[in-house]
Amino acid sequence: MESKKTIFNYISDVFTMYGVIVFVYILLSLIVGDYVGDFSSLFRLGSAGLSTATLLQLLLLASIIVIAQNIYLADRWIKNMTVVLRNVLFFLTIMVATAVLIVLFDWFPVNNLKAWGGFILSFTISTLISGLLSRLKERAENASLQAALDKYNREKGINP
Amino acid sequence: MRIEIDVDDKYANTEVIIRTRKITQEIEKMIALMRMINMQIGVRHNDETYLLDIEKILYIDTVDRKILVYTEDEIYESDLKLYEIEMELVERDFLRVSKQTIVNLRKVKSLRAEFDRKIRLTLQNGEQIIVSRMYSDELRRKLGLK
Repeated sequence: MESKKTIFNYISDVFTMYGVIVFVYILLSLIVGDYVGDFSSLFRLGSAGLSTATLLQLLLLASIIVIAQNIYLADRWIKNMTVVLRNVLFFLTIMVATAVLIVLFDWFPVNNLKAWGGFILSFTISTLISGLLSRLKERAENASLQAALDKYNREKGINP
Repeated sequence: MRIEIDVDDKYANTEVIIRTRKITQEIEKMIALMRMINMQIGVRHNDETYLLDIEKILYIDTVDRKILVYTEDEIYESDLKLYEIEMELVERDFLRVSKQTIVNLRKVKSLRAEFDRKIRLTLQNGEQIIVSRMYSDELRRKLGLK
């Protein structure tokens, strides 16, 4: 049996996501921080780490991702939707939300077309990879379920 | 209610005799449960009572607090509670798939993984039933996947 999610579960999800994001950004700041410090407000401190403002902005991003996850990747609000469409909507929502955060917090210069191109390209690639992986996982699970049912029927002498 | 059990070699067959002044709901329920042991279930259809072979049941569903028993051709109503039916039929390849539904696994044609760990069952008559997340693990266990 499964227990219902409480507010503490959601908070826990946000901070788990936040931890992953901050870890990735700390690694990025260590690697490229000194080179892009002047270009992006996210790496204002260069390789010295992330500023309080950046940490709070990343917390906002983590919260948005968890909200989108609970809308599209759970069945609480949306009951009937294909896995592929759920994933597409999830990534579109995150993409739009991130674009808004980029503009609001000046994560990179908004008039830099190259930066926007890179952002859209990386997002599209991650969406395609995620969609492909979920499709492969779904196929494998369907095959194993059907094989298990066929075996069960054979053992019980049932001819479907 | 007095219960008397008489065990003796002289009895060739086991029989249950109910002596009562009138048939109460409690007695009806007792009879229905005993019939299920006999692979039958007492059901109603158009104000008539039938003894339905368990193997003919596709699934049993709760609709507006009524217990509906579905076969390929008819829909019957039962006076038993869903958990009472479940208790008796769980050993006979029936499985609870959601809070309101019990399915005869012998009538399942195919399975498909759905979003959020749910499973979609397609029955032999083409009807589809969703196994809720809460019960999908039990189905996987029953099929030897866990």
